[in-house]
Amino acid sequence: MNPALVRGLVLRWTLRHRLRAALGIAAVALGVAAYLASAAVARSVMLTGTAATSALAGGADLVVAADETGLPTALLGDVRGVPGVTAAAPLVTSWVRIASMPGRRAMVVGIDPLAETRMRRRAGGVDPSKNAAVADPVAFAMGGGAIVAMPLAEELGLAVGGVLHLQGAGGGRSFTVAGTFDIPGDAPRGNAGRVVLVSVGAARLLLARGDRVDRIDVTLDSGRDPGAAADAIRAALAPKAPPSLLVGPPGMADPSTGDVLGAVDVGLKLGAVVALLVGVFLIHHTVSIGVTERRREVGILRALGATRGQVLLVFCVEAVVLGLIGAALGIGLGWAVATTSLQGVASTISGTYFPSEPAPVEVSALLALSGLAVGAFVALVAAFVPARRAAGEAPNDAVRRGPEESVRGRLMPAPRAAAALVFAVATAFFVWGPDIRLRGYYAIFSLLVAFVASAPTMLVLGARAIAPLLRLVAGVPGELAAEELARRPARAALPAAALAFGLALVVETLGIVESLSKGTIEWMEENVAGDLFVSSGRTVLAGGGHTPLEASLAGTLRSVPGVETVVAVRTLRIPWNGTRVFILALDIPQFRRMTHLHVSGSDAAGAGGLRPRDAILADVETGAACLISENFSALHGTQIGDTIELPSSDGRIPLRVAGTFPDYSWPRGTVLMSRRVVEERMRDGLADQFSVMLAPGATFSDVAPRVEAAVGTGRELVVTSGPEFRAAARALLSDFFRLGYAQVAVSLSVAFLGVFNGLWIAVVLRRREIGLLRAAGATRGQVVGSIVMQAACLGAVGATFGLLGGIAVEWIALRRVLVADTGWYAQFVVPWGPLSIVVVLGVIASALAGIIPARAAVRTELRDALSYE
Amino acid sequence: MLEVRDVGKTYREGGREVHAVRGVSLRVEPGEMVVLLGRSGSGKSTLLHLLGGLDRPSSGSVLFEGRDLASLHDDALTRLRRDRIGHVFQFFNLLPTLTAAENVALPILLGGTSDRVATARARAALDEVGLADRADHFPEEMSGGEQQRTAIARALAVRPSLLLADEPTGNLDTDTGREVLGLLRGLTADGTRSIVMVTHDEQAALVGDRRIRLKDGRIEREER
Repeated sequence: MNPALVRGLVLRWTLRHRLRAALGIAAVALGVAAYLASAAVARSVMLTGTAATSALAGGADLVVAADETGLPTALLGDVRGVPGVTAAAPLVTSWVRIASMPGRRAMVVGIDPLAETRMRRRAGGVDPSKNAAVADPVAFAMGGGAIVAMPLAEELGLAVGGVLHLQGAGGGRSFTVAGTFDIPGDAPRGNAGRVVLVSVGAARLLLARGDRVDRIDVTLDSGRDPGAAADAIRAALAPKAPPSLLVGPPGMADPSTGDVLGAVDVGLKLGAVVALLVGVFLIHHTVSIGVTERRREVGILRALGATRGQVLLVFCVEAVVLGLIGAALGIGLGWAVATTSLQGVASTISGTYFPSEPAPVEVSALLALSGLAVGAFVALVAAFVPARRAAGEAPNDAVRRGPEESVRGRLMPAPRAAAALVFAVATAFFVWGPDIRLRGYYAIFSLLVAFVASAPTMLVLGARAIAPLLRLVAGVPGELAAEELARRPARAALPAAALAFGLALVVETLGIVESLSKGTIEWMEENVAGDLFVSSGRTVLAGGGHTPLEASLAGTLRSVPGVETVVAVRTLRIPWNGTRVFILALDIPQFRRMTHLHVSGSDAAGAGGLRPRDAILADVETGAACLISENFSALHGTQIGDTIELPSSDGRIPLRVAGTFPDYSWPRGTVLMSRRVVEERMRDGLADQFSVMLAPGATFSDVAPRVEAAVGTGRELVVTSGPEFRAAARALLSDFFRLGYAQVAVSLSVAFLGVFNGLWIAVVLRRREIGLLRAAGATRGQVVGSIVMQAACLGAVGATFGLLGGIAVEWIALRRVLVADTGWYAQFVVPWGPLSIVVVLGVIASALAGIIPARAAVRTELRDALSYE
Repeated sequence: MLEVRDVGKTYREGGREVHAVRGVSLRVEPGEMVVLLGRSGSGKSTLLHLLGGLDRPSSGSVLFEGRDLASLHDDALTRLRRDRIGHVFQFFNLLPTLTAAENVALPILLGGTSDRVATARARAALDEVGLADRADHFPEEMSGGEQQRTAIARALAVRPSLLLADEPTGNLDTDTGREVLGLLRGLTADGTRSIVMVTHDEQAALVGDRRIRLKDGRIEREER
């Protein structure tokens, strides 16, 4: 298209209609922001997760790992003996306390200096071999030295030769700073800034790892096929390796976004798609207004020799310009939304899944470009139909008549009725059936399409039902509004459909967030038992961030006056059935005395009805049985009475499923088992936390200092009261759902933009009619009153319809997509309180949105309004 | 140049058939200025749209430079309209977001000519109608007469052999209307360009070589 035409026909027109253009731009900006925010948060979470679980990345061709209890060091020689293996380096990593700075932590990474010389190694994506300044390699190799990441060294005021005191599960150790390594500004920082490299032997002592390491990294001879090498390593290790052995590319054991974000990931994806759909809807409206208002211009262009293609191009270019501007703004907005909500998500991740410093939100050039492309594409798709309508105009009609209602017709035109029917049937088809995850998404999509297709008709029927009331209570303006609603179905439906669609989104998002947060908080209140919690380094909410303690401390704690019961809690995530499941290992006899856990179970034969909780837990205590979480059962198809086999360093551990329990700890499922089995069969004698029940009459303030005195020396104990612990968990969950509320805000904005946009169209279409009304003697007040009343009426109907649609989408998202994704059967909550406020706001906003176009319409000179014929 | 053979146009309005033009035949020779006269609803504007390819006849044929407009595909008809026929409308129909020069250049640019060439030709056309000094003004900054002269310049810019004017003085005061009629009359002086003008103003009609009176979609009579 000629630049002069773009300037004259597109840019100047857009500038002359700034407010309207701003509506379209805002719509795209919101859609792109939602898309980018979800992608950026997901990426940041992945970076955070990857950095936390894999402090050293890169360099290795293969990684040999097992469950969280680690691998015997003896396997190292076997790996090195496999043909084609150039080097194999052991690795131990964990967060530890910095003794000199209470509350601060470092990530200790134990490496074998000799093996490392043959590896090309990167810490958190940074290559220390390029950036490290090692002044004292001998001290490092001998186990007394540490190479410290520069940011941490600066924070602690450490220089080479300085002493760093670290406190791990194995007690306290001092290291001489043998060198530092820098982190380039462009490297993904993750947790790299807090890494302390020490020798693997020193790390094992510091972390009480015995003869075990976390991982063995392997480099291969050049040209060696990693797949074949992995098979060879598996074969070589087969006689000694634990069943949980994993051999594969680096990163294989890292958690997926779905693992970490669980339900929020589902919400994010759904939110981004739906926000963009709404963007399409609003841009469609904006371009429709343009096409309607510029009908005469289109006629002139066609009369002067513009082909249909050229007219189509004018509107498409206009949409793309709006789309690109909106997308550019959306990139900034998306970054802001992501940054704001990431704080909440990251702190939850750090608190519940793995300790980490949140990786900053990065909107890469590629992501930004994809945002621009999405914005332009969405705008183009949205503009195409009205643009084609413009291109199809007969030049003589358009030149003579100017703006005219193009969307007219019957209450339910046949194509729309057919679409509504087909997609309604498709929704029913997808809602019921196997593979509910994918089908759940299809069902939501089908429901939204059926919703859009049937909305005008349903809304008009609703508006017609209200119309008599308007006549009755509002005199002439009410009469005019009722007339308009009854006579112009398609026109009346546009703003109401926009509002309904936006509010459906709000209802769906708010419903999911409320359902999940209510469910998880209630679950936590009921099931996280204990008057006092003891851990090291920091409070443990679901594992991570703390330093594990020796489980044997439970005995010491039990002897503290005022303590009645102590449960040592060990949490692990182990590979199982293609994913990683959460192991919650407890001292069952003590746990029985303090838990309120709702357990469903039956006898050993899997029949005979429900058994008392104590009986089921007694089964678990034998070591032959376990409980599985309800989401474990749903995700893995495991039933009460089945036997599962958990991998361990001592072969597979068969456990009969004695019952199920509700649990929101881990989106891939939880196994509750006796800690004794973990200690004996997995050779893991550590505890992440001790849950303590106080004796009658004992208080937290009395007992906490005694606990500190009994076991606190050198351990940086964190002693938390039950209420404090639960409050912290509640706060953490609220943070986690902040992203959901951000999405609600976006949806609300989208809804109001939609209703404003739609009402504008309705008024533009009525401009001549309004002129006639004025000419016939209607006062400005009567006309404005009529339009505002009509808007409020549509707002009420749209909000009601949106509420119903939103509840249906929420149900599918919770009962199909979320269940399939995480197995969580969250309580279906419709938050009537907040929703009723939203609905009332919708009606008021709708009425207010009617005022601006109404006032603009009555200000139009009668001569202009009537001059089209 | 232009031959109309037994043309009719019927359309539906409110469920009934309206015969806007019925069995009209006429010829327009090169250099001739023909005026279509008639009351409102007589079918004169509909006939003009049929002559200019803005609409297609329900029956009969419109031959322009030997080609039947009804047989042309939409794109071909559009190109013909753009390159060979100029239109002047009662309400000027200038695009408000374009300056006078850009409005005049519009059909040339739509034909794919470069911006530079189109602008030069547009300024020349504006000069021809005496508006060289108003080239960079927007329509809203110009008087009705200036706008109509700009519209005439736009119609001339593509160097058409046929110029169709629909009530070109209908929205102008008497003096300005007279100026515009004089301008139009002068355009046929070299004998290569024909004009068909629609008006209901008997006085304005006198400017033509021939006057064709229409009533109820039919030719009532022809006057010289």
